[in-house]
Amino acid sequence: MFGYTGKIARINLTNKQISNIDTGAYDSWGGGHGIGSAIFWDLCADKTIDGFNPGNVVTIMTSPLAGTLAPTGSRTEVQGIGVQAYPIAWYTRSNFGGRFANMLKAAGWDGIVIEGASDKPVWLNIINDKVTIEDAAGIWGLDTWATQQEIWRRVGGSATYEDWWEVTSARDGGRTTQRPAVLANGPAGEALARNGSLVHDAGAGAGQGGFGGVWGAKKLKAISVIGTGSVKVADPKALMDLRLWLARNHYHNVDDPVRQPAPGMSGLSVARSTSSVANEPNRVTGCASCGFPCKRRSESGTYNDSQCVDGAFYTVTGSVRDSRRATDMMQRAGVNAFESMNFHPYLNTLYKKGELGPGKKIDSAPLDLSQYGTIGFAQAFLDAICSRKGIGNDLAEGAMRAAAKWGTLATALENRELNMPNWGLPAHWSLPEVSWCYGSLMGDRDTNEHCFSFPQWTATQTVGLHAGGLTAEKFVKQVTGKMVPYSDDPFMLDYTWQGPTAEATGIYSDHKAKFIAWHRHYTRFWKQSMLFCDWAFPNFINAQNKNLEGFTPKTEEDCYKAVTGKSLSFAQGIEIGRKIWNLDRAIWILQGRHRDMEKFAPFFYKQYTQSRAQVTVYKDNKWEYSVESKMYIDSPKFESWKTKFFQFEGWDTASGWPKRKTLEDLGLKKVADALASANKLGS
Amino acid sequence: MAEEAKGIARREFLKGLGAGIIGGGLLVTGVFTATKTGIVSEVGIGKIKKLAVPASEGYIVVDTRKCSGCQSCMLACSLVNEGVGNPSLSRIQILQNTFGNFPLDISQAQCRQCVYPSCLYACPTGALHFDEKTGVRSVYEDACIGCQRCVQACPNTPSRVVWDYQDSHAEKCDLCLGAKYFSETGGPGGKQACVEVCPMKAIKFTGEIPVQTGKAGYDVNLRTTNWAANISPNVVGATAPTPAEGIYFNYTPPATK
Amino acid sequence: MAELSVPSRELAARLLSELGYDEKITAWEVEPASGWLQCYIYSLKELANFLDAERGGFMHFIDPDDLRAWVRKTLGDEELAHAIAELSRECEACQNSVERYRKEIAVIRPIKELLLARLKQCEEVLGEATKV
Repeated sequence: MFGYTGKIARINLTNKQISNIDTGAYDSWGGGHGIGSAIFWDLCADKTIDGFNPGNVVTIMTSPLAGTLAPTGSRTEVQGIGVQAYPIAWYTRSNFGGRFANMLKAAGWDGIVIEGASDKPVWLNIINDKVTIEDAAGIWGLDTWATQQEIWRRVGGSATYEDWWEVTSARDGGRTTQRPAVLANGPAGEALARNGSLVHDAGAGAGQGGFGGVWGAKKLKAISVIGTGSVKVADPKALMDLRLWLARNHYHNVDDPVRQPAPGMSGLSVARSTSSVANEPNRVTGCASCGFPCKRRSESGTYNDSQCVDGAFYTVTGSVRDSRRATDMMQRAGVNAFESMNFHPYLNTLYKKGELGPGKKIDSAPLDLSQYGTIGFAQAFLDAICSRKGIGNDLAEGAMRAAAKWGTLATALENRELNMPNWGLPAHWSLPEVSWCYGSLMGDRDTNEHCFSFPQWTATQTVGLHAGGLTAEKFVKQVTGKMVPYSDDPFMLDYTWQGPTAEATGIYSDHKAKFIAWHRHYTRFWKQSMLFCDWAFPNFINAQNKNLEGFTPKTEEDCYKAVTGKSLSFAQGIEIGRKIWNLDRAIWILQGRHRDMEKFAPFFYKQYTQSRAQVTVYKDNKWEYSVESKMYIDSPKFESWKTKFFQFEGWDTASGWPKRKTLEDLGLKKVADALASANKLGS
Repeated sequence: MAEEAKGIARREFLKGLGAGIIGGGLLVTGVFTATKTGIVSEVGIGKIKKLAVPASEGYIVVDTRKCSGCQSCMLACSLVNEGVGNPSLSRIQILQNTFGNFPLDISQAQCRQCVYPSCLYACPTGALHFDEKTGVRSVYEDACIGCQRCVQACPNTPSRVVWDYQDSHAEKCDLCLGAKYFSETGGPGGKQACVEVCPMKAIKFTGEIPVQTGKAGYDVNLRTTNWAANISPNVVGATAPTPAEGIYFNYTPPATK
Repeated sequence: MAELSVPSRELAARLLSELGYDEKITAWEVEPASGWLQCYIYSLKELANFLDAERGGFMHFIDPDDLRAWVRKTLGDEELAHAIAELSRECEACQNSVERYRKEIAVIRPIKELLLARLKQCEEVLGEATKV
């Protein structure tokens, strides 16, 4: 097999059995998320169980592109029943970058499947073909960074990692200069925190879903991988040609850019992001195989390899240096940045309201809210989660469950004290970019897919700074023109939210139903199964291309073909994405999903000063850019949009459950049968 | 078929030479010359002798401070030379520690095409040779007997001569002269996969012999003003234009093409 | 920047005070990847320190309309509210929402400076002891 290594490690922590799954039995699902969901479906007997239940099956999957030069295909997808979402912790996903996927492929594995739960703390040691379950004594209790360094010591033995080292005692057992790639669970996960994350290297992490807590329940501390093998590439020359074509026509040339990206700009601009303003000497760092590295490592070693929301975890000190130190604390504790950065301000809100504090309705001990804003508070907040002492026992349950216990949740969601519109996950670019909030609500979590926000940022910031900018009409046509197979419908990008146009072509229209469906299907396959980086794919508009031409869909197709040797059109990939999306939907339905639950938090239907973001609207027969600042969702109109969306997806409009024909046409007869047995098949 | 034929030729060679070395107990320190057809002829067996070899016509220099550790160079190297993705087979190695402090968190280890190539002198068969046309130090993999003397002889750590454990032969950077899966023309005067693919432009080809200054040799400053604009104004070794006030919309960028 | 008259001791004390939950104002921390993080602000000083067109890769933003209303109604500083209105006059006049947003961002720094100047006046009125 080209691209794939051909086998997936299956590890049962209850009975300590280790076996192989033939990747070939699942490769029609592509890789990553697709294979993960298909394996979960087959191996998780009862999909209605809690995420902490030993019956939960966790998959850690790579892409066939990982371990090759394919740009950014080196992310790792983690799936299983989560413990974070509210009120039901859905079957969910999270992925992380770094070098773990490439190392796993080099070791000869396409993925790892974890079943059962160990009776004592363990870690997994993968050295090429050899997989062992190791005793975590001496590692359990360590933070995520110390865990990794201790495992480096245990695996490498006398290796200094400054020279070649033999990974086995045989001369030809394989040698490398690299450190093992370790995915570590932190003290938060050990404490079964629903906001526990998994951390790899200093700053790569799978945060959403609470997989740290899930691993904690399985008594799994870490997975270490060292590999020295090869990933076969069907057409190496074509892959190299593709990479050079990208480098010469689309990537940010750091020495001689076609256009200077504005500071703050992410995606395809080297290091123009959260960490772009450094106050000490530093370097840009990138995940394995990346063509536009975006992270940093600094002289002080602070904020190494963190990125994105990591940097936003705790900025209330007002000091960049302190906020970066807090980020490191958060990574070491293994706590979900995105949830926490919305949670600790809520504690301060309750404190200000007089509801939380010493002697108040909610006892804050051991936290001292008068210290909120200090770096010490950040550490105390993390310590409380990890220790579950006092209020920490509630904090480890996450913001929604804590607020529900305190009796403050209804008010919090009415008044936007908790800015969490869908399933208890925080708002992101949720409005006005409805692809974000609709996709999140129709799914299981904050989608965290910047597919349509980055092109807008590119248009306004980078291109907008230069002569000959991008008209709204050109923007719409270029973006939708690449949305194969629906490329003939520019109204997918009409974000009109008021008046009759909103229902005709805007955010409540059939066009938007098609748009959201495309987005769900694209990301399920190309972004989460092929594991192209969210910050780079799809590429509709490219500021580093003289003609602003993005590299989607050519790059997705060409990459897949060069690596696997198989022809798969972009649209065929979208269709596999649809199949994966329907399988995921079926799992959520078994967990209890129904159309009636798919409602935003109450504040989302009220008019507040809202995040500003540029979108495109069709007004007076022409396209224009617009910045919406007071947008909200109209409940009846949104309900009518849901009906349109369910019709487009082939789901029952009353329940939101897929119909038998829809599933069978996708080759999912078994899934249809399972839903029918549960009386949850759409009619 | 081609691979099979090569394998047979090599095995026959190994067999014959092995008998000579082990049976005769000779210390083989001489130098073989070899033609591009892989036929090896002895010129100095049994003698302790360093043959003068012409300098390479090209060198790879790096800027370790500019490197992002993305391993694109390593994967490109194994891809164009071996047709696979495998950092362990890459002739350029990026060593890094995610928890390290800049600039010591990363080192780039590329072959220096040494003027006095210890690896070449150490090779008992002439498999490790210099290209007659360009002077590039290279390996005839078919002629390699797998003794690993070249690997050990390299004065640098990690050794720039890579041991292909899967196929039991040495390999080393030839500036892509012999890259089998590279659409570009490699070697001096041509292009090198690592140079072309590096997103940080932290690897460069030069035709001039760089100054050898111990461990830091061949590690040069490739930082440009434009690069610095993407990092920060106060990074060691570079000065960046200070962004104008405002961030998103008010930023005035430096002049652009 | 508008020259503001010296505030009364009473107003100065109000402007330097820490406010309660019901008197807060919502500002925003913005970054292309992480989106808009809402931040509750509980004093004028906190807001002045918070506002920054750029800090650590983030933009710190406040809606000029919200700010003006807050200063007028919650803090009771009519003159400062008027000065903010002057600074953001161009934003209001702008019919094009994209242009308006650009101007709103552009006015963050002048507003910050205005707030800092007002806080300085307050501290001078109340004496050295009030300096934080």
